[in-house]
Amino acid sequence: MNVVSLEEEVRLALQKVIDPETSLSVMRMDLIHNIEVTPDGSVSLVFRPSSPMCPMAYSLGNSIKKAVESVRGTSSVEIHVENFNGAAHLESLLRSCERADRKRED
Amino acid sequence: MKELVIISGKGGTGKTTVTACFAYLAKDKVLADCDVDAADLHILVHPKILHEEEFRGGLKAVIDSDKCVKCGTCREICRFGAISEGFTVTQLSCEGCGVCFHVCPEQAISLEQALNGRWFVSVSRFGPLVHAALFPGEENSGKLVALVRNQAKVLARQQDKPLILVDGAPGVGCPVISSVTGSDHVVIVTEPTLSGLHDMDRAMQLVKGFRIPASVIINKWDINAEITQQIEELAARSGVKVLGRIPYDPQVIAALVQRRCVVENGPSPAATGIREIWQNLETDLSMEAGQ
Repeated sequence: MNVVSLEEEVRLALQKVIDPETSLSVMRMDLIHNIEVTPDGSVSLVFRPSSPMCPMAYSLGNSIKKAVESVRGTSSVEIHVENFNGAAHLESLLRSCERADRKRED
Repeated sequence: MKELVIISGKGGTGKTTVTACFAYLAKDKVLADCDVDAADLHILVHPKILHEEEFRGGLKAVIDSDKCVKCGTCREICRFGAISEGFTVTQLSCEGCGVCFHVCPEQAISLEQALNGRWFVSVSRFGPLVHAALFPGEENSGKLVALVRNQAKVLARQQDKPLILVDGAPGVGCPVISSVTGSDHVVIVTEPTLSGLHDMDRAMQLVKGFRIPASVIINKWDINAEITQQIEELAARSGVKVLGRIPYDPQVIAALVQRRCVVENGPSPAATGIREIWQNLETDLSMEAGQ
């Protein structure tokens, strides 16, 4: 899959991640920014929760990661979290999920 | 981008009237009417709806009459009296708590998404407006407020607007909490009555809990100068600035009857007071942005 198609597929997958408070997708809520895709299938994006104290940020971050990972052709997903008090913690949790998943596969 | 929220504590203090005046005076902004239980900013800003969607924020119980054996367990346990003698769910009474769903021995009850209201993106005579209307008796107004605020932010980013003016809800409940969380500044509009004083205190405590900069406006201050003084003393003790006083002015009512804001209708005591308050507020917002 080429980079443009993969990015399009990633956007479509993210349209299905719904915030339970507003019932809108994270894309419509403008919580996802700077989606970047490389030819080897690495995807990076910025996740900006709706407020620095967003109680759903952890759950949404996990759903976003899983949605992008589910897209065929994706080799890795890197999520940068901005505008959130626990940004560094959430980023590290999302990275550790990836390590745990790999361990299970091995 | 700054998000300024106007709340009141007590209802009927002039919160929406003041918001509409600010909307007229502010240069480049998006408006959000977050008083979704009784939205009325649209009356003054005359919106033309560009986009409309359903809001489904809660659940309602539905009984499958083919499976129901009329044992009465659900009727007995429902705290809202929502299940009739004929074992149908009264939609206005059902809170969607799901107890009946869990206790039904025949699994005859399901929980379905309820249509609670509608939300809109409009263009108004004072700029873009995101607003909503919760249907009568419906719950989950906090969720709808979160949606309206979010879509106002999305619109402000798309149109490069530096300010979002939010007309919040009265009280200190869920829709108010949802209106103020994460905002940049909260203005509490109060009036010199005992309930105005009491409810302003509660609103100040709420905003303080979220560590949001706040200020107070005293509307119709001259109907009771003694309580006005008490309001100012209470605000000072709480470290909240009083932005200004608006005098009682029949011109406000005359303007409202015309579906206009008093600041649009030429000089009057209230219009002068509101213009001065807006200047003070703009200065405070710029200073807070610089900090």
